[in-house]
Amino acid sequence: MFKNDFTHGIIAGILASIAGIIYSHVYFFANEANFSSIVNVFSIIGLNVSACIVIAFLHAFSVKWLKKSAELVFNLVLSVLSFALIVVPLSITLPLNIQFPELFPGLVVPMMFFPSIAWLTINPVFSNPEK
Amino acid sequence: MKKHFYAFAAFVVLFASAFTAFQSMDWKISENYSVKFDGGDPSGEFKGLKGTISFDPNNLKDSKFAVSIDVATINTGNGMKNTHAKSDKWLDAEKYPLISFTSKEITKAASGYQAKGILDMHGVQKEISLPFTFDGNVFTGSISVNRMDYNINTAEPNHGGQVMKVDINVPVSK
Repeated sequence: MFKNDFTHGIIAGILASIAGIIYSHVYFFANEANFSSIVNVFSIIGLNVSACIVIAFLHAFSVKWLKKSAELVFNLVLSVLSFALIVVPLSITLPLNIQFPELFPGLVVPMMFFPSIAWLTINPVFSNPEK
Repeated sequence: MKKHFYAFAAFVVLFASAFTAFQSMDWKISENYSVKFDGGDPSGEFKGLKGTISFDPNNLKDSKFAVSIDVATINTGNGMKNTHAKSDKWLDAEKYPLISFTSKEITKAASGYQAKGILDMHGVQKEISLPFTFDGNVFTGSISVNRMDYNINTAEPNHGGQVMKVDINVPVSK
């Protein structure tokens, strides 16, 4: 069972990473704000894959414990968590050598939604047809 | 004779101009200066240091600092805190765009020097003593500033630190 969620998580993580890398490049060209010492290819891949594996665990536990209402509760928790994570980039204090910290939330806040968007995008592929 | 006179005159002019440069007390602020403040939360730095620095360790009587920093350049590392710090609730960068220090007297101290002068911040002028050293063309000093003395958000005395330790490091060149 978890094999399905794990594969789902890995693929969602890769998709979210690709979206994050593209968005960070677009953001840099639009604003010329360079946060590459914090938000770079490696950190984007690492965080997105980690987030999607956490989502996979969350989904596996939801299905195991909540049975019928699992999908509803899981989707609700995923949405609430994604919104709650907005606080992280807003409250983070960057090193003083990084200029324009005002532009940092604009880069990272949208990225907070990438793992859940990627997960839900490919959800039909991994959802159990027997249910 | 005339030929020797002009050679001599040229030598005198050259010598005098070199001596004038040597005697100059004025220093230019280098780009890699830092004005950092630490009040626990918040802490950060200012950019936009400008002004005139006239300093000669052998002529402290005529030495003088008249420098200012641009309040709008405050950087705490967090965009929301920067906006908050510049707002009329705190430093009010729009109404009081500069924090300035003008020395009245520079004296020798036990370790280094001491500049007494007026710190003008948030529309309040207060006399302070700024201890500093001057080694290898770098001015280094440190002071503590209580924001309550400058009427900065006095309505919330416990919101963030009251006393800010300000560390100043200013490399200079002729």
